[in-house]
Amino acid sequence: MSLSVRRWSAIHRWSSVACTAFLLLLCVTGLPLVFHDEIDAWLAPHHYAAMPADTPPVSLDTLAGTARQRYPHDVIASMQLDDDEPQVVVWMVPSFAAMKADFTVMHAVRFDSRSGALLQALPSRASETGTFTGLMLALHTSLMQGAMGEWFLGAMGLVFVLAVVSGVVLYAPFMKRLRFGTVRHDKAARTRWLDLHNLLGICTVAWAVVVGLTGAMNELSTPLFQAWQQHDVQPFLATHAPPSDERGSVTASFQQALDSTRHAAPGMTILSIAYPGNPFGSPYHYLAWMQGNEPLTSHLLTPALIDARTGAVTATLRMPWYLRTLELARPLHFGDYGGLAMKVVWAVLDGLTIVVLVSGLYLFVVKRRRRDAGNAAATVPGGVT
Amino acid sequence: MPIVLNLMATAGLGWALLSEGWVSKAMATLLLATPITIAIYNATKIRSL
Repeated sequence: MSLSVRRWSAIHRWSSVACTAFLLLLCVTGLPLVFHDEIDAWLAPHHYAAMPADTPPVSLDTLAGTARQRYPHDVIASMQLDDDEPQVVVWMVPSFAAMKADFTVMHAVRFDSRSGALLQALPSRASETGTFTGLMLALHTSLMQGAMGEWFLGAMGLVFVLAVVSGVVLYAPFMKRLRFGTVRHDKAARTRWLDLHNLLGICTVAWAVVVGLTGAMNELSTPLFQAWQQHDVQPFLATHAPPSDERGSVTASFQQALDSTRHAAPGMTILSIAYPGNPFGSPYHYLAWMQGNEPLTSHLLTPALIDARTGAVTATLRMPWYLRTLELARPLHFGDYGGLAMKVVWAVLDGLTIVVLVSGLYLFVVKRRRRDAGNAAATVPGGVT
Repeated sequence: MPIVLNLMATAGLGWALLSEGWVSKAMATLLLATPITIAIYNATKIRSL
């Protein structure tokens, strides 16, 4: 074995050992997350009254009024408009100061967007980990350890990519005497598992690198959005602040904000509108999040600022390149952009990655045992030296 | 062979992201599924290509 191969072998071995346990957890928790839409719909199905397809939606202001009546001591943080189901979710908080300190105080009221009927009062976001997919997501994204967990799993994603790349480098010298796809079933168990590890590993390389890299990128979403808010949004807001005596006054309504945004951006779908003062928005504007209607732009979010006094769109912000890259990385990680068939393929790839990880661990343990047995034999008088 | 299979998978990933309509999405999914179909076939049929 040449020096170069020995070095790559060491890199592959130790990078794999470092990340295997966490990657197994990520693969196991990621499997149900691939089907989270189907699982959520099965565990908590949404039922809607039968109404004509062309029934116009009720005003957002009517929904806001009903939500305020139900929770008179709370304020509305944002409204979430669903483009798949006829529903609007109104998010509420005790105060924006409480939300800034702990965003899990958010709770929600779900409405039928056509009749305005109140469908469901959702408990605080802290209880989201109480659902099956919520728990899987919390484990998958941060090991339930907050920002530290996100950073750690992001680093593990990069170590995994290093393990995959080093595995590819080793594949050619190890397989040069074998035809592609050979699995020597007539040999010892270790050889069979080595062949399976090599075959499944090399056939899933492209997917594994994409999912590993995009997973690591997704873990950076919180600090990247914070950096954008500090470096781009805050200076913008400073130049677009209203006169000091008019600050804090909100005379435009949610529906006005929605209408003017639709008028200003006719080819976009509006996903949510944050109320002025929301810590994740602007103190003087409604903040609408929109997405395009083309295959590519439907994955890219565009924020629009709507003046809280006049209801007119002040500006549509262009997201910086690093956030656009991050947004494109999301579907490539979750595999939810090609329909159910792609989700099934994603799940199979996830399962094969589990086989590659477990077989790698098995090969590592067997090799260590053989080496230890060899060392023991060498120390016994008369043993092999 | 591994290079061809992984290029197919990469093309499938990108095509599905950029395409519209179920036919294109299905073709892209097929491209993505080809390498693992070959891998599973080889692993279970005890033979090599």
